[in-house]
Amino acid sequence: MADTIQYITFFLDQEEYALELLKIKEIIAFHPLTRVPRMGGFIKGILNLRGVILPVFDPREKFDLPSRSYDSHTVIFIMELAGRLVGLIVDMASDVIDLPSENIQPTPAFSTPIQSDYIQGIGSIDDRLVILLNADRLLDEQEIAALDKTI
Amino acid sequence: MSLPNLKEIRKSLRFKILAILVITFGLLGGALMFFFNYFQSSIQQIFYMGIFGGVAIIIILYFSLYKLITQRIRALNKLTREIAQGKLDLEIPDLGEDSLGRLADNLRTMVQNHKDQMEYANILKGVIPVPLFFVDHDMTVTFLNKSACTTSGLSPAEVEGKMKCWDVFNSNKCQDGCILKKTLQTGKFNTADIQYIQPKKGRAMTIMCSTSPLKDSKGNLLGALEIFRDISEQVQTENLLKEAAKKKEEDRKYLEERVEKLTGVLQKAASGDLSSQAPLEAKEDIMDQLSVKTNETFDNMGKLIAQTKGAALGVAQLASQISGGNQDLSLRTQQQAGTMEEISATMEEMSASILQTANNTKRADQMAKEAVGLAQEGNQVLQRTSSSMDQVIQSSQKISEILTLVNEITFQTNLLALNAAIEAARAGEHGRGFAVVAHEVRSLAKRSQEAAKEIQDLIHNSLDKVSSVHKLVGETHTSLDKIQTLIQRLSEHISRVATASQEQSKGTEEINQALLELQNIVQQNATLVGDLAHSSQMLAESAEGLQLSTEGFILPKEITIKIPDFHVPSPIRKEGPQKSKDRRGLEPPVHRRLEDDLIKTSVQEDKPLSANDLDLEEGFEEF
Repeated sequence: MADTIQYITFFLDQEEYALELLKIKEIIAFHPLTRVPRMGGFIKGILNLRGVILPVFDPREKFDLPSRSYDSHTVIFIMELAGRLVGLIVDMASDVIDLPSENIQPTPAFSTPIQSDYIQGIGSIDDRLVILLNADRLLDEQEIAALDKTI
Repeated sequence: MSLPNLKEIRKSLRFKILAILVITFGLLGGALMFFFNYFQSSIQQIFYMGIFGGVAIIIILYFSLYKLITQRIRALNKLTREIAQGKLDLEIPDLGEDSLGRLADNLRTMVQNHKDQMEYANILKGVIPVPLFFVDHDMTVTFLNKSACTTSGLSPAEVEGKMKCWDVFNSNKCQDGCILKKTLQTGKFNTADIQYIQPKKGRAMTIMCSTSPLKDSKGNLLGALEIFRDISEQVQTENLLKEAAKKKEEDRKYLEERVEKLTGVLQKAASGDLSSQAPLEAKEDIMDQLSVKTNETFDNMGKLIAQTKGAALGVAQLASQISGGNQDLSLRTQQQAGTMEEISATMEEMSASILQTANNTKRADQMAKEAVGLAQEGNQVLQRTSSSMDQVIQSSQKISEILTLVNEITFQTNLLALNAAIEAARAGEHGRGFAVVAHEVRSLAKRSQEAAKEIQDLIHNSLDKVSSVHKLVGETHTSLDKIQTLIQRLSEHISRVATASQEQSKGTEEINQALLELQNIVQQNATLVGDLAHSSQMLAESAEGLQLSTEGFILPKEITIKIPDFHVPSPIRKEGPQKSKDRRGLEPPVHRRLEDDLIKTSVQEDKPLSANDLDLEEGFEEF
């Protein structure tokens, strides 16, 4: 029990992913988004969170997953990326887990370095495997620029 | 030479005389004037004038007298000469009214008289239609009329003055006993002598001839004439008549014989013996025909009598058969009456059963109506069930809604717990207890979510069941509707059955009426059978009488007596009284069968009804 990190798990297209709990500011239920003209393809709109305007994006496109309509389980993770608040749309928030570091595997060799940039590793909980995402590398610089343009 | 016409002669004479006078007096006048001038003296004048005048007158008279007298006398002379020669076919001219003229007139009258007499004689010769000829002393034929020419086959030119009379006619009496010769010898008439002539070129015939002498006015015998008539046909006819008379006599005798024979046969027949036959002579005359007809009559009479005998026998037999049959009929009529009573009783039973059927039908109708009511009630219950189901569905939906709310709350709770966990993580060591609470809350939320899901599943399940029940209720409703329709149809059928049983009831009444009439008829039949017995008895007596009356006849052997085959209907003849037992045996089964039928039909009518009742009641109990 020497080095345990808390992760919050969520589902994207029936695959379980995980983000470091401390990277998440808040979890809110899905709100209808305000669409802004000429925003980037992955940015779904903007959101007013208690007076703060923040952009919201859907990682499905980035992860080459089929798009899907949002339902009652859809939630938005509010997190801070490169010093700014952004919303991340996930299918369903699942659990808060304590993952020991020995349970984390590095990214498998078959992934290209570029693609696997934002994947921290693969965590195993009981029998499950969870894809651990690197919150800081979730968006590249161009995307961050696009985010900045949006607001 | 024809004499010039008297008037023309006169006229020419007058003109000539006048011309001569004029010329003469002209000349005289001229001469006188000349002489007067020349001589100057009147005496001389008168003298010369006298001489000239006298000469002139003489000359004139000569010429005129020659014409008037001499010429006419010459003409008359010529005419008289011709008349004396026998030529009468001439014309005597008119010679004026003087003495010569009158002479000519007399001559004309005389010639005319002669001509008339000769014409008369010629006509007499010509018109006689029978053969006529004249002969002279030598028996040479001098005249032959047309009929004689035809008879002899010769023409007058061949005969007259050339042939002797025997060569012309060739009579059988030419040699001996010729009456023409006798007439020439005696100068007397001979009449009605019959001869047979065979002319060489004519037809041979028997003639009746008469002769007459021909004399001149002084009584000198000039010749003789013979006139005859063909009597061949007369002779022939006489011969025929004689033969006919003879034949008639023979026929009469023959007929008498035949009639006597026939009379004998007829006398036998009159006494009833038809066995002998009228004799035939194979002459095919009237008597043979009579005999044939008589024989045919006997034959037919014989056949008729044989038939009558046969018929009498047949009738007698038939009468006895009728009598037997009549007894049988009487028995059967009694049986019939009995059967009629049985039928009557059966009909009453049938009426009762029909009435029962009607009552049953009425009951069935009521039951059908009740069944309809029950089916309707069932439908109402079903409707209530259906509405209850609807309510259940509504409640489930509400529960579902509530569950959605619960899910929402759970979701929110979960979110809150997650955020709490985040906050607790941020708080670090200070938030450790809070994190535990958040975990607990999160697990509670998860459990409540699972529970909500289970409830949701249950509700879905129950809703599924409710919908299947709903479907079943709908099907039941349809079935009940069908049952209702069926019962209504059943009710219609039952009412038809009711109508039919009413009609049946009427029918049985009619049958009863008919049965009554039948009974009357059977009674009448019984009476009739009695009459029939009497009649058959009388028939038998009549047949006996007929037999007796035909017994006296003796029939030819070849005629046989045949008893005619009266076509008696088979039941009477073939089924004697002993067989009527069988019939009596047969009749009850018929009756029984009828009863069976009735019972069967009543059972059949009852059965389906009761079965239906049971079925219906059971069906309703199920609902």
